Amino acid sequence: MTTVDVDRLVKQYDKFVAVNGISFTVSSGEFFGLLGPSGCGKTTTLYCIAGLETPTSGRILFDGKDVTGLPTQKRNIGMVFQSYAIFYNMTVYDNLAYPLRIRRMPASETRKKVHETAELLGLKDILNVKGAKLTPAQMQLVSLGRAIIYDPSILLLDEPLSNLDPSFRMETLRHIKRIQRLLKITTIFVTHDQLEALSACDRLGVMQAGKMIQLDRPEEIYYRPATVFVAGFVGTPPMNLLEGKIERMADKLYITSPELANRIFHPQAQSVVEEDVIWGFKPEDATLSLEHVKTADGAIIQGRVRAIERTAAENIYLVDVNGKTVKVVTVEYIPLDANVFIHVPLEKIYIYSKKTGMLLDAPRRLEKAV
Amino acid sequence: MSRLWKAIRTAIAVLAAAIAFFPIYWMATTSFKLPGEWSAYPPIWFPTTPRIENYIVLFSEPGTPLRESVLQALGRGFSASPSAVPNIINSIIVAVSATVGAVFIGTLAAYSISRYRTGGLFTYIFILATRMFPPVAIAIPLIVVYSLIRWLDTHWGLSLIYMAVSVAYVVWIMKTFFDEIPRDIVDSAILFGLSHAKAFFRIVLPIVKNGMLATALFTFIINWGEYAFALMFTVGGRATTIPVAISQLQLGGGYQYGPMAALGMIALIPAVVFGYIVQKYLVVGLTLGAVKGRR
Repeated sequence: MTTVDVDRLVKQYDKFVAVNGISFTVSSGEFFGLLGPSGCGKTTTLYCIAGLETPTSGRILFDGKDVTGLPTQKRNIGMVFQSYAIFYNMTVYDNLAYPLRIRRMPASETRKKVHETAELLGLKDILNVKGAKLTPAQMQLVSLGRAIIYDPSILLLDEPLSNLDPSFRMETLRHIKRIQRLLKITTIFVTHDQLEALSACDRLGVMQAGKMIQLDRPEEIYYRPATVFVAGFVGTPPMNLLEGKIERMADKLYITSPELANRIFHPQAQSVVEEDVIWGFKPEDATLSLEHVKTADGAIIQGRVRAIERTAAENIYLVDVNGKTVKVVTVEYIPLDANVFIHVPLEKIYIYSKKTGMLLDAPRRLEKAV
Repeated sequence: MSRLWKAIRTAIAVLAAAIAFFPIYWMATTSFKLPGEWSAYPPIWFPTTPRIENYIVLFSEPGTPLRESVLQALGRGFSASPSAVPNIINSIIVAVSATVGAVFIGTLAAYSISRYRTGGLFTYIFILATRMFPPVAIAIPLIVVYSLIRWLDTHWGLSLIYMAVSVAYVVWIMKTFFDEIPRDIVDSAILFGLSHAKAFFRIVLPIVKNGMLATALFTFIINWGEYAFALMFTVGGRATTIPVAISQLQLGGGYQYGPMAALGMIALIPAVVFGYIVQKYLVVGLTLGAVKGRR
């Protein structure tokens, strides 16, 4: 039951600024995510919270108490590393018991605690297996068990799934989440995988180049990406982003773009004062058809199907438009090389400033969705 | 074809081994020869009756009954060289203390540089740079300083020089071992409640133990056989080590090949024994990459 406050954290290596003044609060028992591409500073932030890196400036607070100068071993933190850091020469039992032995827990209590944790994680049958003989999924669980066995006040997860087989990831994540809920432990989860972050976290922060770009609930981040960067990062596949201009014609403002077969009369565009914009839509929000759709509003894009990626339930069409690739997700079947029209309903179009990359207008579907 | 090739390869290997071992063979046989046989022509490949007089000369002082008995039996041929026992003791004291000191300091320094980037790149390069210039370049100023503080011809004086020279070597080797250790292993131990120092002794050192033994062996061999500094810093003879003692055996009384070879054999013992003890760690130590975590 611990809250974590990160206050204007800066971490600089020589001239490279890894973390550039980020602040956020993780409430007690929350499953908080830090999402971003590699090198964005999310792991450095986690290491600063753990005390394994010393911040250049800024503060870390646990329950309002400044721990910035407190050594790691006194912070009572559990951490799962990307490499798991299992002791290969020890059995699962000894791996789990190791933190307790360091803490000089009596042997009988240690035994009880190890069995409890093994029960919780489903490791009972492999307690006598050596670390080197474990599968990655088992190592992951042992690593998690070792991190929670001494009842830490905070659990840090550094890319815990990236060494697992993709098919195991979601299952393992659910497992972690279930245990986290059970123990009600404040958890910070670092990942570069937006799917993991969006599906597991209560709240998450999207980081880019050492800065916090967006800090929100997953559905807010998915349906209202605050910048072009976030829009291009979340979603499978992420949003299609195209350049456009706001033009005035007959006292009305339209979005025009070389990729567009029409011009979009956008009610919200009326308030946009900038000339150059990035407009976009989510691949699952568009429809594909072989004939020109005569609809009143929305965007119509003409292109040619260049490739089709088949997933279990639906197809991802890669449509060549003016040399750019636009992705559309649909269950419909359209042959390869077909000339197609992409239709995007007006209420599914996002508008971003080209200059700042900030969201100018987003679909108001959010009110409906949430 | 492949059998012929195999035979050729075996022949080359045997030849190479023979060339490498010939000096040792020659030293070993010479150490058991009498004065007349040392440089006889045609050479005596193997002494018909091995004699231990060379060793007796080495281990006895002139004028003692033991030495006199040898001289009386064989007459001329042996010079009145002093006993080599103090030199052997000197060598052991200097080489062992320098090795222990260099490995201790160098290992701690290497870990600090590897894990905490202490002193940045400059410190690391600076430490390595101490190996770049020839010893004679610093010998003269050192002699001046040493004579001022009266450290010339002392065990700790020579030992300190050896330590300073070989610590760079230890830092260099040990850093590559420490670099190979996954940081996560150490970090997780610290998270479990170990201090950085305890994590070093309980987690890191056991992993690099083999590498450290191998490094210690190489450092010891370098220190054990060092000649230039020993020659310059032990004028006076109180702290003279084996390599210098061997060279001095030929002074004043002709070439003492027999005792020289015998002392060479004695010099060989620690390296062989130590090498035999750590040989199973040698290969492991030099390929420490094996500790890298399975991904």
